[in-house]
Amino acid sequence: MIHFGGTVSLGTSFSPLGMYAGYLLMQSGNFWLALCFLVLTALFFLVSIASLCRYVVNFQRNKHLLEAA
Amino acid sequence: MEASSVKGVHTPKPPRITLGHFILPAHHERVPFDFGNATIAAIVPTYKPRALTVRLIQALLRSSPNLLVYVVDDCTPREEGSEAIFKRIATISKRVTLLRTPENKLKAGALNHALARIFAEGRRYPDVVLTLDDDVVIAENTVRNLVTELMSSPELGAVCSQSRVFNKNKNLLTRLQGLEYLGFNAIRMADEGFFRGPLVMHGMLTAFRTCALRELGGFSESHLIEDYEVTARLKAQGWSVKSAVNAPAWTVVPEGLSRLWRQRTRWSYGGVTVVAGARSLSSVFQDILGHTLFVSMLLMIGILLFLRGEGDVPPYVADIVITLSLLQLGITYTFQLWLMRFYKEKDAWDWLIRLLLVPEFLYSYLMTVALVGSYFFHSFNVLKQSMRLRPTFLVRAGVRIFRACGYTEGHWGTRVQLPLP
Repeated sequence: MIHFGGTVSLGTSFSPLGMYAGYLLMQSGNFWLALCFLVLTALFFLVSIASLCRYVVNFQRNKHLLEAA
Repeated sequence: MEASSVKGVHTPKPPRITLGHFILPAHHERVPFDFGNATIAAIVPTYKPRALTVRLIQALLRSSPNLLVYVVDDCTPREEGSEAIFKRIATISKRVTLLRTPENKLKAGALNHALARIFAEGRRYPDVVLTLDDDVVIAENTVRNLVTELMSSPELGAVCSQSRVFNKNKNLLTRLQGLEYLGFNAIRMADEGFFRGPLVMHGMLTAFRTCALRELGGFSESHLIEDYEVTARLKAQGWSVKSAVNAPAWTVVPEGLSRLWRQRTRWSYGGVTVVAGARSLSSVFQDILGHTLFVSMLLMIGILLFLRGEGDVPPYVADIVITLSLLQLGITYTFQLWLMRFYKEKDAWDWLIRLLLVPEFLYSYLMTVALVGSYFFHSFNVLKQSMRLRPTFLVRAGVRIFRACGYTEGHWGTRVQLPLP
């Protein structure tokens, strides 16, 4: 399972945790916590998308080597 | 690229890191390089070697006539089986030097033992030093492609191979590790040109520019994972690192849960200590980001479990959180499926595991538990040292509990005995 975010298993742990957290948010009802959580989820999403972008760029740069391998 | 001289060796000026590199990674300039002229020293630290080690040495020797192999016996007990293999190794070729450490020094110590010998020999230093595990299998062009990739960019201090799993068909656990290693390779590619490259030039097979390794003074013997530590120092010195996409190498992974757990507690705790002790934060940036987000997430969930608010959260906030998480999952899953095209050893079972998603989820949660344990173990050790706690009943009990869970600062071995196919 891929996990962008260094050696931390984020990608896998984060998505279900995020869904669970969303459920908890609906239950708890604290606005500021909800806002913090939203920022955190968005941040992780951006980190993952940026990593994917870099992968695509580097894939294009190394494509000739990959095909020759 | 400009170069500045530091104590007789050339360190590249560190590339300027910008926010733009988050999306568009830095590009390494390339210069022509003739592999035929490269001098290479391959260091193979070993403990209780097996037939696979002999096969590795033979494959290394076939890679280049300018390659010398240094096999470092890290004080293997004189057993009958090992003796015979060492005798066999010593007679493979004149290009093989067999060394033995005076005491068991673990991998970093064994690597330094060989480096000291190489640097003391008086002849011209090799251009490249390869560091390997003794249970690695390489392809015909692995060394050539690895060394060419390294020497074609003056700013690169190290280049690692693609990591693949030799015994992946053994059981579900080894298949999961095979899929995990496929992800490791993808992350390394994503991190090329980002904060001077991937976090870890792994120990199974990495090519180091000799002058860079000399400048660092070799490997640190006080760390559990010497490969991450040396990569962090290399990047802190201004060198960049990357993985060679056309240099595959296969390693033997743990086949049982107990060995895998020991390996991963070592990796995760070792990783936490490298980040905690890093002098240059940019050299471990990806992990700092990862740890920060992960710990924040855990804290948030912890707070949410116990806190009751005023009920003033607009429903769309929770909806956005859930939607972003689902989107994240969808993108990751699609990417994982696409990545399978590069998994040459895959079969129907690997496809099934990947498509089902659940086995990989459970596996990654196991890794997450190992990580959380590492946070606790690190905090415990920091507290113990900073407060200079005496070995009271509580401290001893803490050490025992962590040890029972697989966390120690001592010797962790994860060797798998595997017959040759």
